[in-house]
Amino acid sequence: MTVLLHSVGFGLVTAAIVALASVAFSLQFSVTTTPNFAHGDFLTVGAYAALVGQHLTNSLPVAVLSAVVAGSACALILNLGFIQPFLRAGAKRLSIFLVTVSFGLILQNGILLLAGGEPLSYNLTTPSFQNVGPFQWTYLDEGILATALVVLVLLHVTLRYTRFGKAMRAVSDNPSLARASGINTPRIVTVTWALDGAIAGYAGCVLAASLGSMTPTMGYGFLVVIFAAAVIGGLGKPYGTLIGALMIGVAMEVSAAYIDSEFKTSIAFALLIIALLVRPRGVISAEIFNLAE
Amino acid sequence: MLDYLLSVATLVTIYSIVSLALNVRWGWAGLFDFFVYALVAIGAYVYGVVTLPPAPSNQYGDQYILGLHLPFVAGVAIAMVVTSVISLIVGAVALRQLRQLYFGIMTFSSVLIIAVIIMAAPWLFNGIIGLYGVEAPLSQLGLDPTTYALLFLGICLLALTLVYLLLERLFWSPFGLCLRSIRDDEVAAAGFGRNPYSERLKAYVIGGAIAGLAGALLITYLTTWGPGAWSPIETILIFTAIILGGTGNNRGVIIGTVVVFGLIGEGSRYLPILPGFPDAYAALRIIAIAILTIVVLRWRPQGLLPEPHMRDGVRRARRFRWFGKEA
Amino acid sequence: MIAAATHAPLLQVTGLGKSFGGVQAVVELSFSAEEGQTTGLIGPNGAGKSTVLEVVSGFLKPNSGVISFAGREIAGMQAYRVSRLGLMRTFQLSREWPALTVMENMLAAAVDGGRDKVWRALLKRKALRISEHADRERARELLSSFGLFDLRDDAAGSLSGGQKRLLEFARIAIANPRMVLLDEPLAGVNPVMAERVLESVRILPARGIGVLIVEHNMAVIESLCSVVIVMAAGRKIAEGTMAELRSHPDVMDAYLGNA
Repeated sequence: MTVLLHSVGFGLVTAAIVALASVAFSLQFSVTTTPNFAHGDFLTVGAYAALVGQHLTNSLPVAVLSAVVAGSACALILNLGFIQPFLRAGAKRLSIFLVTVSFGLILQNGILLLAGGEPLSYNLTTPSFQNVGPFQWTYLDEGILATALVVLVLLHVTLRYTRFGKAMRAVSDNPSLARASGINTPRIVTVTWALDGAIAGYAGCVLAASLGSMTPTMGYGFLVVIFAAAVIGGLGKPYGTLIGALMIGVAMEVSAAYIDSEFKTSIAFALLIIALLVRPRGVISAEIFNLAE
Repeated sequence: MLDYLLSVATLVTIYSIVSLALNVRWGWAGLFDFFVYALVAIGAYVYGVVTLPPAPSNQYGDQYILGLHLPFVAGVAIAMVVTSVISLIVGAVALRQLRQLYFGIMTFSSVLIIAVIIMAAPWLFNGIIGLYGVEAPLSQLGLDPTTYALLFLGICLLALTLVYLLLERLFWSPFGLCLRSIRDDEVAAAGFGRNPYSERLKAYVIGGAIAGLAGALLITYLTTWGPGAWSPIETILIFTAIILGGTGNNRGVIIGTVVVFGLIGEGSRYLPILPGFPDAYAALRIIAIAILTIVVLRWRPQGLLPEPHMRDGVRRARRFRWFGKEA
Repeated sequence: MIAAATHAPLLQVTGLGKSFGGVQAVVELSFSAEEGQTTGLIGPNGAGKSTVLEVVSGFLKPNSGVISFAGREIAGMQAYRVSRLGLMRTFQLSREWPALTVMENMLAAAVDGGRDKVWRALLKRKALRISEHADRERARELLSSFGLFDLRDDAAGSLSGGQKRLLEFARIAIANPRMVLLDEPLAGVNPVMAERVLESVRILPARGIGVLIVEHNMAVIESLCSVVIVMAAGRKIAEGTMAELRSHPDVMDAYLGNA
């Protein structure tokens, strides 16, 4: 029984990381309706940037800041440098999707080129477990959970109570109506991308910290888990995606207690496939989980 | 030098067959399919376990199913049948209600699941080590390596030609036109008596059979096959080849494959070696291809050779008239 | 033309009902359309006319009711099967196949049971060539009568709105159904093109194809239709010739009053 509870505890930590990455993805998708295949690589960039920051200044805040800035920069480059010009030229949605795929490959291989393919270690604290209620967490785990919670709450507050958040929801619900009501849609889109990249970069740095190392394909490999959470919760529904992330995270860790942990991610794949077969629009469809209300 | 060129030519020929397979699914039927390379892998594995002798009990603990020691042609045929059946199953399920992005995600995930299954069940295809020691067909002729390489290239070219001719015929047939009409607007197509689901499924299975053929040829050529040999990246490269060459155009697709895998793939070997950057080639190659993809998508999305259309309802006149007169 | 007096009508709808969420779009609707005749379906906006077409042609499933076409029960049947039986439709926004040429659009529409099977492409080559030739001739002839012959090698997506409309009719003509449902064929068509579209509509009954047309333009309905059905708020409120309906009190109400 304790094994189960501990697994749930680990699951929550994994869920936190997945939640950050996938909620950012869903948020971006809800506003722009562009599926971003490079999203996983934003995480990778964030992780490596954090490593560089750590290396140069030996300060954790700077490392985290580097991750956030790097992730944001990549997202902005992708949007302003590639997606917008393509849209202006009248490109089809599929072309844009393939552009994001290519951009992701460039990011991934750029890192491979500069940093090599060997895993680079990224250890922040020594693992020592404490018991927090029924769960067993390290300081790192607690840090991850706490910061993820903070980020998600801030996001929620922004979406519901700030003018900007309301504008985002308006654009995601009905872009032409939003524009007609005087909302500066291009600016909202740009800021959404920046936000998406920032959160993704942070998620990447956190992911690397929890794994203890990073490789150029780290984020790309995480993409399926992100998709799984996003599809289960409903692509473009950030709140639903949050629930999806919780389910995936906990399912992955709980199953790891019983089957070989190598196959953790295959649980995510299996859940994704089931979700696609049963309800491709999202298993969780209660209206409160729509972004725009 | 000649050996090297023969080797490149053979690989490009086999990859062209894969591109043609994906072209049926994507160019003609409009399916954003990532599963095609998994079928190549399955075709390779099936050919392997069917043509290899039974698993030897050696110190490596190699294990795999079957081991029927059948000859080349039987191996190819069985590989194609298996990939067709798997395509039928995956397609029947995925095509029911998934479109575009969701279909892509589904097929992408299926590839990863297959990889996991193969690793998790080493008794199937020898897990992470993979199959090796596949016999080359016609090796009993005892040819010297270069001549044999030429012969094998000939076999591959023959396969490519047969597949090409078959697909050309299908493209210009009522079935081909029907498929493209479903791709363009399936609602209108349904209004004219077309069942989008079943026609797409047919395209999916045809693509699967051809992918299986390519897989059998690939493992025969490489004599080994393992998880390291295939991944979703391969599929992305094939997509690039198709986009570059001309989606829907069989000839264009082959040209695109030659460019992506031949020119860029091999051309990068001639770049100067950068000390301290051992992964430079692999990385630069893919970066170059990614940039190429973006450029093509922006300035020539239809590719080098656009999809061919009838002139006045008649297929463009062919230069060769072996197969009968133009109506 | 077959005298319809003692036959069952080609299309017979009884007690049709369709609702979306809680909204009843069509309620207890019964009507029929005869073979070879042109029947009109009119009513104010939101009366449910388009919904009726969608349900009858199989693109939507009805909640209740019986639809019988050529003696077959087709309620709830999938669209592609309904069209194979010979009941086709046009769409409010023309749905051509944009990447295919005009001629290819025609050939793709020429439905022939079983000819587009895969193995036929590979094996029965001679028979295929003969029927393809026949189709090409029919396509050419039809494109000429619709005035689209010179555009036959152009991509259908590059046609003007009116030309796309004509192409829709040409496709229906080559598919040669027994009956076609026309969904506001004159919508968004400029007056010059409208005359050509009207001519195209007249070609259909001349070829023995029955027509059920939804339109707002009363003059058009009057000139084309022998029978007109009036709907309001999902129900049928009147049926008859235009002359009879002109003085029908319910019809006046529906158009001028609430509905």
